[in-house]
Amino acid sequence: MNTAFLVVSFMNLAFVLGLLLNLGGLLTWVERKQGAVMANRIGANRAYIPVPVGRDPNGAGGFKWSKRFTLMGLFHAITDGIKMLTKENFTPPFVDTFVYNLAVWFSAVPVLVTFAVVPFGGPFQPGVMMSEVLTMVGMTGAAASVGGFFGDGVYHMQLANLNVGLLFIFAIGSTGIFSAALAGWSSGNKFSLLGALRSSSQMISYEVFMGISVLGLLVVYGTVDFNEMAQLQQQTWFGVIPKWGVLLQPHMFFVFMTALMAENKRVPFDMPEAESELVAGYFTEYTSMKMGLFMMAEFLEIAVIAGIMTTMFFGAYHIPGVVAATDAMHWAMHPELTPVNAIFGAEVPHALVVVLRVGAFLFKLIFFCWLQILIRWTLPKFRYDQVMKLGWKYMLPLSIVNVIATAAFMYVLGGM
Amino acid sequence: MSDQVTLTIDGKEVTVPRGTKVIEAAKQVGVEIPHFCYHPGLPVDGNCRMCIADVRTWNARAEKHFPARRPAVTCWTDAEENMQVFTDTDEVKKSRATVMEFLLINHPIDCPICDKAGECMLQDHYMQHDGKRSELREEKIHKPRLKPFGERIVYNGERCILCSRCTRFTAHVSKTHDLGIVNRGDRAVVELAQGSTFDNAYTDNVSDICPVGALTKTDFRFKKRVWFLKHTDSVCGGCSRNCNTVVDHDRAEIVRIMPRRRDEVNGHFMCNEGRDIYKSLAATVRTSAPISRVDELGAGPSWDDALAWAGGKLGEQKKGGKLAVIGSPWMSNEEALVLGHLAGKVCKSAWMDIKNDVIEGYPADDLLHTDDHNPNRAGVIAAGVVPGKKDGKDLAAIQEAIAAGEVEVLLVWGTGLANHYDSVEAMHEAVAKVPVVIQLTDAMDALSEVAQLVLPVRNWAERDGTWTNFEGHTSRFRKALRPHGQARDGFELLSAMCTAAGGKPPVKTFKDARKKLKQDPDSDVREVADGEFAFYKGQSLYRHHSGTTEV
Amino acid sequence: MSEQLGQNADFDNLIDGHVMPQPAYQGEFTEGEIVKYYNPSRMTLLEKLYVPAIIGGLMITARVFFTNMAKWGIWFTYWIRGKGKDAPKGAVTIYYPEETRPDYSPINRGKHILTMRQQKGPSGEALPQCVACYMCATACPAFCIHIVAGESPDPNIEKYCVEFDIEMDKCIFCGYCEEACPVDAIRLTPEPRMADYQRERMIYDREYLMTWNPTYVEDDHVYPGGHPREE
Repeated sequence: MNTAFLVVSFMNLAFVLGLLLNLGGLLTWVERKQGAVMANRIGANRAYIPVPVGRDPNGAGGFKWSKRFTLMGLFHAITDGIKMLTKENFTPPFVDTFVYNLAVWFSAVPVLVTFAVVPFGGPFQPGVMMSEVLTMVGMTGAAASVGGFFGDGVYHMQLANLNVGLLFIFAIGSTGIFSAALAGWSSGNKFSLLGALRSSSQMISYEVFMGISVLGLLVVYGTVDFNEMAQLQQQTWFGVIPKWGVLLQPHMFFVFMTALMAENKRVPFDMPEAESELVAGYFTEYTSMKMGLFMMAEFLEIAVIAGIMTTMFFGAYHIPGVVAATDAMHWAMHPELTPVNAIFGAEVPHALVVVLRVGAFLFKLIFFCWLQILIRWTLPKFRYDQVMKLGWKYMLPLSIVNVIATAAFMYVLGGM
Repeated sequence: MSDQVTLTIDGKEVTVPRGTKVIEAAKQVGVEIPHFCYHPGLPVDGNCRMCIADVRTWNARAEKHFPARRPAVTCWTDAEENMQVFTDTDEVKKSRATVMEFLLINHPIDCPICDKAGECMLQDHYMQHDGKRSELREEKIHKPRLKPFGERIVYNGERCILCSRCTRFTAHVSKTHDLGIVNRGDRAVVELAQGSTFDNAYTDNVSDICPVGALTKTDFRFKKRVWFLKHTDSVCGGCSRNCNTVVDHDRAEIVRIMPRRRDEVNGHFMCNEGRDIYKSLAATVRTSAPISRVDELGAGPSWDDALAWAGGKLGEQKKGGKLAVIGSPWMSNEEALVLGHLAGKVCKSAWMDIKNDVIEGYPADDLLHTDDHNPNRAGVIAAGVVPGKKDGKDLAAIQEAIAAGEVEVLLVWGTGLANHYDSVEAMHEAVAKVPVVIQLTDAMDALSEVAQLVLPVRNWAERDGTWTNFEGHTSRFRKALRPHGQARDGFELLSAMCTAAGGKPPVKTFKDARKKLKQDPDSDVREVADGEFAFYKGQSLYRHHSGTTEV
Repeated sequence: MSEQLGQNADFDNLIDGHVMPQPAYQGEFTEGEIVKYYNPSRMTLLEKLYVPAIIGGLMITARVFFTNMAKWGIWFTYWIRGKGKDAPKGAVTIYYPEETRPDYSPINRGKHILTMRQQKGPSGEALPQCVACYMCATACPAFCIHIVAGESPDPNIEKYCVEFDIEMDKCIFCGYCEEACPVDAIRLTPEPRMADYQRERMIYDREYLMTWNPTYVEDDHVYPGGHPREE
């Protein structure tokens, strides 16, 4: 471990945290605004920043706060944050205080931690990239010193380059159930307890086939490392069609997505919260930012789910048709397919490759966030028996059959 | 000839005393014959012709019924043996409709601004027996409107149907001969007699008996539409006559008091002062919670503390016998029973009597007013609030004992103790010698300013009970309003004090109390006057507004 | 029992996998006939698979989303030129109270008014047509009309309303008061704007009801934050 590695890690950390937390806040706005547009409404539009423009018509002489910048209601996310931070942090007297407070951390932390293994860009060489950029703006001296500091070391755009990536996600993700269970139990409220019971059974049920559903994909990939998965997905059939997970196992895409959304406890699967029945379910007794963290965790989880789906099924950070050459250290665009080569020739600057990859990842991530919110505003809530029936009677058998079939297929073919 | 005759009305056989009018006989078998001018409390006039029916008399010689040549007025036709009366033939119905049409020719139909609307006989009979549009094309006759008859009655000549009920009332009941009908034909109006100011004590009755809104009371004018009112049976406490009344109230506020028919007590009518009694009720100063002037209790004690303290003070006097109890003729019979038991049996006090709460009032007359301006003197004495049998001391003796400082605990119900002293100061001076004065009262008075404990009780409009009038007839009043503040029912309060003093209350319920007092079991049966208040019979169109007693 | 189960083994009679209790069959039926007591399921195989149906539903909502976004895009081209108020929007709702709908029906039942007599009172004041008959208060199902009657200052009119209060926050705008009125004294105008921030101001008194054209204060206290929208 050297200094350059630490610097790169902190860069990654800053990027991921900035991405996730901003996305979490932004998604609260997207949730409202997208739902409004889908329903022919206007949506959030009241929070604003007043700007002193123009004279006071009453002749008092001062400025009149006449302009309002609503910015499409984007300030609602900020006002929500201010509201939740400044509201009374009330702890009901009947709760089990330690567990009650512990549950809040169990809600947000596992969600953030799971994103650690998601690669948001491919392997990259910070020294090469930065010296390219600095040279371009004419700072050759700085380019040389930065290039010297980082050398030509290759790093992953990922917080933790674990070779057990998917297993890590399952391991950490399944601790999220503690938040609902502990919060519901410690609240000393029957609604909360009912919500906790529902969330326990729902999440455990869906975790069973969530793991099994991607086993087929793992058999195809032969690895649980997300980086390797990303690399494998840039292969193509006939040089054209990318070997994305969604094309390898399209049915399991639906099953896995269903399971992840059920884990998130949002609308088609919002049994544990169920406003119409259980007030707010397991976090009924929480106030201010403690309640806000539960809400925040849900929106963060949207982004995390989108990241996992992107990485496993949608080619991670790859743009279809724009593939790397075989040499992992030397980056080039696919010569005969991409217009990029028309500009840069066969040799494409490394910085552009990094930007394109991160951009592609973000595009896919945001698409899946949008898709989840679309689903949340489209599908009505399941009944509890329907949730259980869907999980145990359809999804689980389908997953198991898929594992066996895929394994048999792979055995016959002898590899991908 | 026997005194009873048997006749058939609409196929129903009825036996009535000879001389009974057919309309009354019909009422006995549940056949209601519409009428305007007939009133059971007034002499028969028979001018409105509304009560016509097909009356067939029995001819004993020919042994058959003779059909009548024309319908007969049933209010003036005596019931005869074997008579046949038909009240719902087509001919009768047509005749009634025609009568209605004539009555309505010059009636202004200003029901929206008429205070009688809702309890108007013309309205009711129009809906039931006529229902046609007016065919009058000429302008209606205009007569004086807004003509004051004295200070309490306003006359509207256009609405008047000239039934002469009011003139008969002043001629035969109040015997003041104030009103008469002048002019003829469609110009006839009711006119005040020359020189008359129409200021006797019974003027408001002409408004009650007026079948339309021609005579309205200034007191009730524009105040409330009648269908908003809730009706609670009550008894007037203005004098020892105990006129049976109906308290009409809305939104916890008494709007008016109307007489209720009770033949052996007040007949059909009541006096103006009795109608105004709700105003004095609203004007009384009351306390909403117990008031104490002893250190153990503090200024505003809770009911439990106050009752325990009072009961303890009474209980201390079980042996010593230094307890004096002054009751009131405003107590109900049930309360008097419990108070008598508390003083006489539980505390064995010899000093017990009743005082005069109200001494001033209108003079007695030969119609309804009596000398005693308290309602229940007879009942309270009968229930046992009297000087103790053995060595009993009456009120004068109690006053002497108070002056001598012999009384240790003084229990007073109600107001007006100062009436028995020369002045309020004299009363204060005398009462200051008593260590413990407990007053149970529905209104604050001079004694409440010095009493050690003042316990608010409900007044007659807020509680159930019975009063017995000077002739021995018992009438029941019912709860019409919500109690003021924390005021408690006197029966319940005295029973609790019996228990707190270490004894047992004599009875548990009102029913037991009435049984023990051997009261007339029918005292709370309501007799409905005929036609005057149609809404009694559940004819109200707006049932959500009226018809239930507020609880 | 087994026969009955055999009959009901048809999937249509199974709801959520449970055999539903069968009502007693009233008519006649022949041996071997399968009696259907419930509406048969009319879903096609594609719909039963559920996922295609969900995708269809998502496509519908997504279509609405993108259509509206396109409309908002057009709106943006107006807005950037300062003509945002007149531009067509991607929503059917409005920014109340900055915008109001022009398309209320002329017979919309809105704010009440009290009609006035042509003749003024003795001191020149406007007199209401109302004769305080309480018909509206009687007909009102919400009990929101409160009248105090009194002698009219005009000697030709006997009775009129001294006070006439309508609790607009209780009112359900059924129009029964208008129907019940014998003298056409109370009417419901199409005016829909009655919202306020103080409950006391929702009680409209006689004078306000006799003011037929209330002025709307487009100034500081119209809505929180207090200024007309300028976007």
